Amino acid sequence: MSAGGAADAGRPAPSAAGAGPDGPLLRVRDLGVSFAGPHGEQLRAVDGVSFDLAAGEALGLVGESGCGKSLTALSLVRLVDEPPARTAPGSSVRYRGEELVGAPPSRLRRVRGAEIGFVFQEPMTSLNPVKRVGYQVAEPLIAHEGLSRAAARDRARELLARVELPDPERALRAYPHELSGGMRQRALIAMAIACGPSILVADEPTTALDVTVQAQILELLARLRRETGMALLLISHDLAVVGEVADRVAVMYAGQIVERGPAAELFRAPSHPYTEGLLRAVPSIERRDRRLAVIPGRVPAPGSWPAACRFHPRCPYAWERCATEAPPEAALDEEGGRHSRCWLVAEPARRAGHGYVEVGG
Amino acid sequence: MNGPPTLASERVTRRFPSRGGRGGDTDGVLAVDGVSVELHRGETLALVGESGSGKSTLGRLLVGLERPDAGEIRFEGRALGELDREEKRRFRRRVQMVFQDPYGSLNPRITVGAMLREVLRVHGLARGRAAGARIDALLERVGLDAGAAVRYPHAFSGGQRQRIGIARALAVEPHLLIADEPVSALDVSVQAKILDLLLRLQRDLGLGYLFISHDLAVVRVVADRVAVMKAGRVVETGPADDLFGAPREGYTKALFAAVPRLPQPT
Repeated sequence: MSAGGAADAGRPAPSAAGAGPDGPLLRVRDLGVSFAGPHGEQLRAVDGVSFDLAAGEALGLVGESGCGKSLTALSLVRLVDEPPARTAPGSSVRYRGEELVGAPPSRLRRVRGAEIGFVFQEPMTSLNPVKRVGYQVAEPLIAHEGLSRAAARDRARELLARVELPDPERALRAYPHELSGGMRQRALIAMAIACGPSILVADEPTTALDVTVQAQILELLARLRRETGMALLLISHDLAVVGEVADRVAVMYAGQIVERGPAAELFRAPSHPYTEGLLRAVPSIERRDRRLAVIPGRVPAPGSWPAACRFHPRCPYAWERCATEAPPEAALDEEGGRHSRCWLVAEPARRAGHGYVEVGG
Repeated sequence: MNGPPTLASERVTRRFPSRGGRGGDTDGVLAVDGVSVELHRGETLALVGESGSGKSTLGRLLVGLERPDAGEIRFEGRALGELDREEKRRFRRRVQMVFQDPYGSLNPRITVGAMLREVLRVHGLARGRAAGARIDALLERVGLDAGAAVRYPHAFSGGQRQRIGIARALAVEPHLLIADEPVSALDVSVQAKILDLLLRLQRDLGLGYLFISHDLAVVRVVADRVAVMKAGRVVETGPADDLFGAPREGYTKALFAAVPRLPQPT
């Protein structure tokens, strides 16, 4: 994704339009979320998560199951029930400078419907199976924009055409089960962008789809971003998908962001050992001889995070310090915004002579 | 690969009745349409394609879970329909299946050890103390500690359950594994470990695999030969290096082009 040029004409520069007086479009600081465990105890699932999202930017949030990436996204606008979930004291989510943590439910509903749109993995569960698609796309327009039924229906038809549903008129009248998986995902995207949100949060939007359909949906998202200038928060376990879409990437492990930075640099030269292991565990269609890294052990569940560095029991580079002191998020460069939560930043010489075991090795 | 195949399909066809609501379509859906493949010990044939391409149905035909409407499945040269009792037993031992979600195929009420013991008993392979030793060896082979035998399926993670599913398949000393999306439900770091296990088992035991997958990058790691399916037919087949290096068919090219490329770390 190159900056500037004619192709990006419709897209505001990341630092300018849309940013409030306080800076970025979305500014998340120290977000913590816990939920009630099986014995009534509070289990922390998201811990000290901080990131910025600039207008028009695509940020990829990656990690394996249970790392807290979906909960992070849902908690931005309180899409998880509280209780059982609980936002930790000191958490801050500012949208255009406005604090959303603790905001009244009516305000959050408004933000969810009109300012921040959501697309989830399984469109069948996000769509109401007994309502026609047209009604579901038109509904937020009536609720949030006060359109009349007829006007909302016209807009819904336009939106369905915009997400490239082949026969918008037919899709309006269809029930969700009458559409294919890819068409349902397009309908869901139409709903999410109906009120012209400035941020689209897409949680595993292509995971259930065939690879050719996935490519079409990713292309659609890219086009919509170009045309509307909306920012994208893409949550995915699929590093290759994130690599194709995101300008910047944040890698989550055990509830924390362990590394973040511009996508190209992070993929080319990962700094945090977890990022390195994850990238090297992904097979490549281009190389048969690629030796996959094996990360020992398992992702720890909330409630059983190791002390100090949470990755240290699985890390091929870990030494005493990693088991006794929690590493802070350390900057890797002056201006690029690359950060890694690892003691290797302070002691890079510790890398020498260590590394991941490889598949078949 | 030289020599006759262990298992082969010869122009097999499988038709399913069409689902209600479409109307007029009395012939049903051709899930598999005249497909011929050969499986050899020590070699991996990957079956790739998108949902609805018929790849899972072909796997079920090969393992005998479905019967073809036309064509033959041959085990060691003999049509499945012609096998006598003894040969059928042999077929069921030598060709085993591994599923995407082993949890769905594990009985939640019995321990892993009891499950493996039952498999050994049914096939007349071992009882009593001898079975115990076999079970320990099986668990070790798939990378589980011996303590796994006394635990129930729910106590295991997704990757461990897949190891249990593989142990169950290995219990009867198969020559071929039909593996339908065996790593698709797993996180990437777990996926790498299961692929490692499958490659190791192939090297150590000379297993042949039919590896059914929608994930072309995973297929690149394991496949010796590839068959690309679309709408019930094999549209292209060949050695993996040739097919990935220079796909000939338009559909194969489109499929490969759609795969997102991960920028390679240096």
